[in-house]
Parts: sequence; structure tokens; C-alpha cells
Amino acid sequence: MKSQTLKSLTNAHAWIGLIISFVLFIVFIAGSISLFRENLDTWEKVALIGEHAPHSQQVSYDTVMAKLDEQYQVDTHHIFYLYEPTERNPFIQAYFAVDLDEPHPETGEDHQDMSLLLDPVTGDVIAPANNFQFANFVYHLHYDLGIGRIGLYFVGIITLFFFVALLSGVVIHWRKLFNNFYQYRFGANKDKWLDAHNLIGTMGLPFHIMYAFTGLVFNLVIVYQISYALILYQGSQEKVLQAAGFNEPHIEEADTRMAMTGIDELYVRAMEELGDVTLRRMMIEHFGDENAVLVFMAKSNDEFSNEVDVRYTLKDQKQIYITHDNYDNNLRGGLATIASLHFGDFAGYGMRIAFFILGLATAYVIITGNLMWISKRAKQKKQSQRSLAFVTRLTSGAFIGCMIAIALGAVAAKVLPIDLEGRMTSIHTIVYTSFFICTVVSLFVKQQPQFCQYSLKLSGLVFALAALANMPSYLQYGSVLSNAVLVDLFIVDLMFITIASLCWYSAQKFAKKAKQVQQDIAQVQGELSTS
Amino acid sequence: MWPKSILGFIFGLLISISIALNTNLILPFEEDTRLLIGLILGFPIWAGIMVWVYAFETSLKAAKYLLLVLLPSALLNVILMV
Repeated sequence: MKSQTLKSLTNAHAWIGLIISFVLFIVFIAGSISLFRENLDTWEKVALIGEHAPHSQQVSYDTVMAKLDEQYQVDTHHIFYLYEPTERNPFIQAYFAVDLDEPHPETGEDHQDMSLLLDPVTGDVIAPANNFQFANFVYHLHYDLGIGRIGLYFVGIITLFFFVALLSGVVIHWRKLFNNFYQYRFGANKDKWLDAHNLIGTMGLPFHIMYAFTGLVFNLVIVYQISYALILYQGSQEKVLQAAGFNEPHIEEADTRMAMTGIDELYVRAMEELGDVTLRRMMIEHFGDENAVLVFMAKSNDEFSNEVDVRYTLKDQKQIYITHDNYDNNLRGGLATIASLHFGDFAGYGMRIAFFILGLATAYVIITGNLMWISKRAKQKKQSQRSLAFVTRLTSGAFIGCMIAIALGAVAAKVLPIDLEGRMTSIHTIVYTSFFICTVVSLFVKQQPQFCQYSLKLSGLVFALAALANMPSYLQYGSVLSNAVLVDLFIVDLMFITIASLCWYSAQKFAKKAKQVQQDIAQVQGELSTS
Repeated sequence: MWPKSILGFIFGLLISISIALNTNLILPFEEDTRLLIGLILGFPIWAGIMVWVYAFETSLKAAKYLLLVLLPSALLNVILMV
């Protein structure tokens, strides 16, 4: 390869890495934590689970439906979602919309979304499920930064550039990929960072490529969907979706009221017909209508990434559709495989822990990339000192700000009362505000090693505090909680302690650096005074 | 770097769509399989084209080569669809 080509690619790799680093760091940190989303969800609402223990093994969907129908004016046009109780979440979770007589004062819509945790036997409302969404919020930070569709596409574009950075990195490093595989020099910082960057980048390459590709499919598939619709399917999105296997039968509404009964019976039948599966969710299309359809969506337990689905009409309990193999469509099968690869949900906790370590390692690769850029630019005489200081301070502020923000969010999710009005809004505000404050403060601090040292220590302490704040849960509810719930609590606490330790360890490194800087300054001042 | 990024982004998108369509129109598989192949090929082609653009010294030179890839591919789509 020509040296000019190599130089162009190296510059591009460094430039892209720097531009995308701030968002990509948030994506990887939030994504690593989100690997344990279900555990984190249990961790957040453990007080609720403990207070309502012991939990009944019996479930009566018919009773629950009758009660909901009696209490709420459920919107027939909106899909009604039901999540069955599990060992870690012993409540039925229902998500639906209610009709409003007048437009909603905030949204202006004629319906309002409801998400409730219900007693599985009596159907009594335990709590609004929207109050316990910290795990979901962190997951949103991972894929759309918590700002909806715009964030989704923005993260998609960042992921595309991440893919470009990966490919350019492979091309740049190709000749030394095997020769320098184990190289790790303990000399100058730049060599150390470069070796760590290359070593982790090379070892994690299959993982990085898989994440970049699968992430792109989730966030930017719309690009190909639109282009296929326009060129191959005469502009019809519906035809594209049909070809893509989203063609399960749908029945029109009859506009005649009917009670939603017979679900308990159909549940047993569906589980028999689907075989060894884990139920993901149930759905009712046209809730309360004579033509209501009950859908069971599940995942096969004995096959890799196989989605199964069965549908019945509630009126006469007739099966209208069943699939045992990803909707009998290769594209949907492919998408299910891509999803399983991305979430690492196919090989137990071992796989998720490996993904977690690789996720944090990628965050380290991102940091070292920025540090190398700063170090290289600092040596260039033409480099503007102001812009260099800006990038240096932004790197510290945004990266550490992300850690502090998520840690504070976790503490808030643990200590804020479960019945607090606007609980999730408060948690969102805490996370975004702390990130913003940390980033802005960093921009005004000249002594960056000290800033990093203290802010990293603070991050570590807050993560440790989140784990510590959960200790009363063990004491208060330890005897009544199931093993699955206790395992969830332990995993989340361990994860927070691990992140806290990493933050503290990094802070110690910065403390050494700060001390070194102080010594250098003292030495220079001493030399000046003697001369 | 911005001109190369924008050029690579747009041409990468166009070329990836065009090549994905080529495969869709040529490969003798079921419709769902062809769509899946297009989806799998699309993003790596898009990213690969962007890397290729960055490897050139100037955006103008890159644009010439990109047109040499895009035009035959697009032409093939037109021929296959008409």
C-alpha cells in the first residue's frame, strides 16, 4: 500500500474516531449495562416485589381482563400487550391505551397510554409500570440517547462511522496485525495507548464488527426498506413488509362489544402447541371487540434464535395462524439471528459477562484513541492550543460525565420512593443535568489530571453507593424473595462494584499523573529561581 | 475531511443500494432470501465505500472512481427492471 494512502487512512481513522467518540462512549457504556437490563429492572423494583411476597403461582388472565375492562375504557384500536408473571417479575404487566373524552392536555391525543403492574390473581393494580423504567432508560441511552426517533437515526449514523473506523483500522494495521499482536510497550504513554488500542481492537475485532453491523441493522434498516419499497415495490411499504414476512393474518374490527374471556384456556393450549418455548408476550388485537385476536409470541428454548407465534380468535377460540420457524420467512429468521447476536442472549450469563467485558474494553479503546489524538496534536507546532485544550477537556468531561450521570441515575432509581409523582422524569433530569454539568465544568478546569482524578473518584463512589443503597433490600426482603430475584440483585450490585473499582483504579492513575505534573512544575520553578 | 465524509456517505449509500438491488434482481433465490442478502451486503458495502473514499488524496479523484462503480451497477438495474 502506498504511504500516502496509509497516511490518508490513518488521518481519517483518527478524525472519525474523535468525532464519534463522545456518543459512541455513551452507547457502549449504556449498552454494556443494558446486557443486564432484566436484572436491573428487578433491582429497581425489588421493594415492590418484596412487599407483595409471597407470590401466588396461580394466574387468572380472565379475572384480570374482566377487572381492567370494568375499570378502564380500553381503546379498541390500540394493541393490548400482556406480559406474564415470572419468578423475577411476579406481576402481570399490561400495556394499553384508554380512550379520552377530551384531547389529552399535554399530548393532544384522543387516548392515553397506560402501563400497569397487576396482581396476577385478583387483577388489582399494584403500581404504574412506567414508574420503574431506569433499566429501560439506560437501554434507550444505548440506542437513541433517550431522545426518540431522531436519536435512533443519529446513533445509526454514528454506528456507520464506527464501522468505517473499524474497517480503516484493519487496513492500517493489516501488515502488523499478527506480528505485533502481543506487543505492549511500557515506555512512553503514546506507545502504551497505541499498543492497548491495537491489542484490544484486534482481539475484540469480531465482536466490534458484529456490534457495528447488527447495530446498523436496528437503527438504519429504514434506509434500505424505503429504497426497496420505492424501486422494487412501486412505493408500497406494505408490500415490502409482506415480502419481509410481516404478513400474519389480521381481522377487521366488528365494532360489536364482547367480554375478553377464555384467555386462561387458550394460554394452556398455546403452550402445548408451541412446545418448549419462553413466552415473550401476549397481545390482543381489537380489545373488547367481537373480532378480537389473541396472539402468543414466544422464543424456542431448544433452537438458536427461533421465534414462534400462534393466534386465536377469542370469539370461538379458533386458531387462525401458527408458525414454528421465524414466521416461515428467511428475512425474519435472519433478523432474529442478528438480534440474538447483538443482545448475547443465547448462552446464559457467561456470554453476557464476556460481552460486558468486551463492551467496557471498547470504551477503553475509544478513550485511548482520543488520548493518542491529543498527544499527537500536542507535539505539532501549528496546532492551536485553544482547540487542543477544548478537545482535551471535552474528552474528560463527556466521558467521565457519562459515568457520573448513569451512577447518579442508578442511585436515584434506588432511593427515590416508588410512589413518587414523576419519578422517572426526576431520574431523567438527574442523568442529563449531571452529564451536562460535568462536561461544562470540565471545559473551565485547567488542571485536567486533578479534575479527572476527583471526578472519577466521585463516579466510583456513586456507583458503590448505588450498590450500597441496595443492601437494605437483602436484609428486609431476603427471606421472602425468590432465588431468581436474589441472583438479579447480586448481579447488578456486582456490576456496579466492578465499574466503581474501575473508576477508582483510573482515578489512582490520574492521581499519579497529577503528582508528576506538580513535581515537574516545582522542579521548573526551582531551576528558574536558582538561575 | 468533511468533503470526503459527505461524498463517501452519499455515494456509499447509493452504491450499496444499487449493488443490493443488483443481487436482488440477479440471484435465483426466494424473495425473502434475496432481501436478506441485500440487507447483509448493504451496510458493509456502504462502510467499505466510505473507507475507500478516505484512501484517496482528493475528493474529486474519489468521485471519479465512485462514478465508475455506481454507473454500471445502476445501468444494470435499469436493464434488469425494464
